[in-house]
Amino acid sequence: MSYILRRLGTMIITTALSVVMIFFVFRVIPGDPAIIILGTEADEAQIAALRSQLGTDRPVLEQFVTWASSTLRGDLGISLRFNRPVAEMITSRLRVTAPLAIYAITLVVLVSIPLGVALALIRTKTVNLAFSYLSQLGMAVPSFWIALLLMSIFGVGLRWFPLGETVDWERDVAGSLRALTLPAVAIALPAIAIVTRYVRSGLVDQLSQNYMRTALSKGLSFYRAVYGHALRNALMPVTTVLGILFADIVAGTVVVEQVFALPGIGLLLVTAVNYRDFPLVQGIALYIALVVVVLNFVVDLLYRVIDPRVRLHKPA
Amino acid sequence: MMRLPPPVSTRKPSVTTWGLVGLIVGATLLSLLYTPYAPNAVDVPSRLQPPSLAHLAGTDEFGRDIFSRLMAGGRISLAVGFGAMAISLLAGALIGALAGYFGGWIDDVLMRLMDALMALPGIVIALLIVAISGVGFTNTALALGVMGIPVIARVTRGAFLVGREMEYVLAAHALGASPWRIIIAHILPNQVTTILVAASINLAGAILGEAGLSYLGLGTQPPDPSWGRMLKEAQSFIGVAWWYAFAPGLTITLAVFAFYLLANELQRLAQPVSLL
Repeated sequence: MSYILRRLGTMIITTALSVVMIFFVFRVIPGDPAIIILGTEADEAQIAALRSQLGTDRPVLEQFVTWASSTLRGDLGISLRFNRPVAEMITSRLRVTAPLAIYAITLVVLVSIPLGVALALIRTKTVNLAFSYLSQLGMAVPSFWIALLLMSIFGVGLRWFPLGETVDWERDVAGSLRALTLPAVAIALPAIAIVTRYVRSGLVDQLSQNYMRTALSKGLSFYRAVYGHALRNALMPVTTVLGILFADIVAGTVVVEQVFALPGIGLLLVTAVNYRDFPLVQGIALYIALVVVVLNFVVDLLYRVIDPRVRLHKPA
Repeated sequence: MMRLPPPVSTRKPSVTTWGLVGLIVGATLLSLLYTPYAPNAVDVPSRLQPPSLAHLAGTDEFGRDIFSRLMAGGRISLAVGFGAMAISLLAGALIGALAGYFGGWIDDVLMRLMDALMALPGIVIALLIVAISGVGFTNTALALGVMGIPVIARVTRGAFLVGREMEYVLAAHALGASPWRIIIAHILPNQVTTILVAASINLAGAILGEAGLSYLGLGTQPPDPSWGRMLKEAQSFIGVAWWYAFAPGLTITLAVFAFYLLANELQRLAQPVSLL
């Protein structure tokens, strides 16, 4: 219990620091938001008006307190461009981004674990070398290029998947999944390259452990020894990697949503940056940071469930 | 009889790795002196031509030679990448060295800050910075540089945690060397390869990041070609000219791949000869 409380404490500190950082990034970096939004030719009165709307004419500390207290209450401010509450805009875009991210993570887990196991069991020189190059190539491929290629082959060429449309979940679940397939594959691919590496090397380590010899010598079949003993231990570090991957997946959605013109949070963020819509940019960044931190916390707890040996003072 | 790994000096450098890095950097440098066509030369009659002997990677919608533009695009993509790496390396190594050497509350404070920075995906940090400081060469490099700081800081901290326990550090301390001297003259040179490996991975990430930002229209601005920018421009022609989007994407992949391989190579060359 005290472990969970401590982790909760660290999580809150990390979140608080992210909040402070996101706020001060907007103050530290040179440039007056009001002038950036209106352009250098705007007249003084307009600039002053926008400054007071943004609150940037007040002392920094006062701005921070105002902003932080409303943020804590879930009020992320009003978008300058769309004149709507930022929190509400983010929530409405979640309908696209959340399924997309979950779809991508599911693909990563479903593909990398069997693939990693297979590669750990078949370790010939050629396979090892080919995998080492292929996985590095997989990490090097830009997800938006994969997205463009998938789009031109399966969308434009073969017409297997619909392009540029999002289907309502309530009306057609299969159709929604189909529409999200190409983007999810594009986001998942680089992550698959990374996770497969971890599964493979984790399992290779476990296969040479003494308990494997014991399991085999007491007559357990190789298959049961691998799946019942080695794999379970090998997946421990993978859990941690999955936690880090959430950030990658979110980053992937930002660019890939642009390729497929999917109206998710990523597309909203890019729009917000293009319009210099500071409250919106700030709100989305904050939201993403929160999601990543909370998911990492959940992964940490999961880790504890899978492996009761893990204690705060002797992490595996 | 146990076989010992060969000493560092006789290990063969990897032909693939150095060849690929040489090709990418070489072609980019060569573009300063020579490109098959002028990168921005418009030639409307030969627009959107598929790859041929005259145009190795085909032409774009203005009839510009894609191969020449890729060569020239490397200047910006690599310059932004190296610039970003320099920023990540300087700031990250400093933070990591202080945290790892001094430990205690300095370590706690600095590393919690890095954790907070890591909670934001790199591209989001970069977009935040671009939103405030605007688009352009310097801002892109700055944005991508900040994005890479936490990883370098962590790696450097780890290297310094190992390094500060060494006996020569104790000896230097006993001789009255100042912390700065110990950090810079004693620990850093001995841990430099670990940091360089991280820097090479960081460079690969920065090239990928520049491509991403430029693809979003928030990095390199026209008419300068950069690999990501070219992909953005190619998107409208994806149904009619497959080669247009293919060549820049492949170039980005190979460049990033090259620096990942370089990281492996550095790691391999740096491994000390073990007697076990």
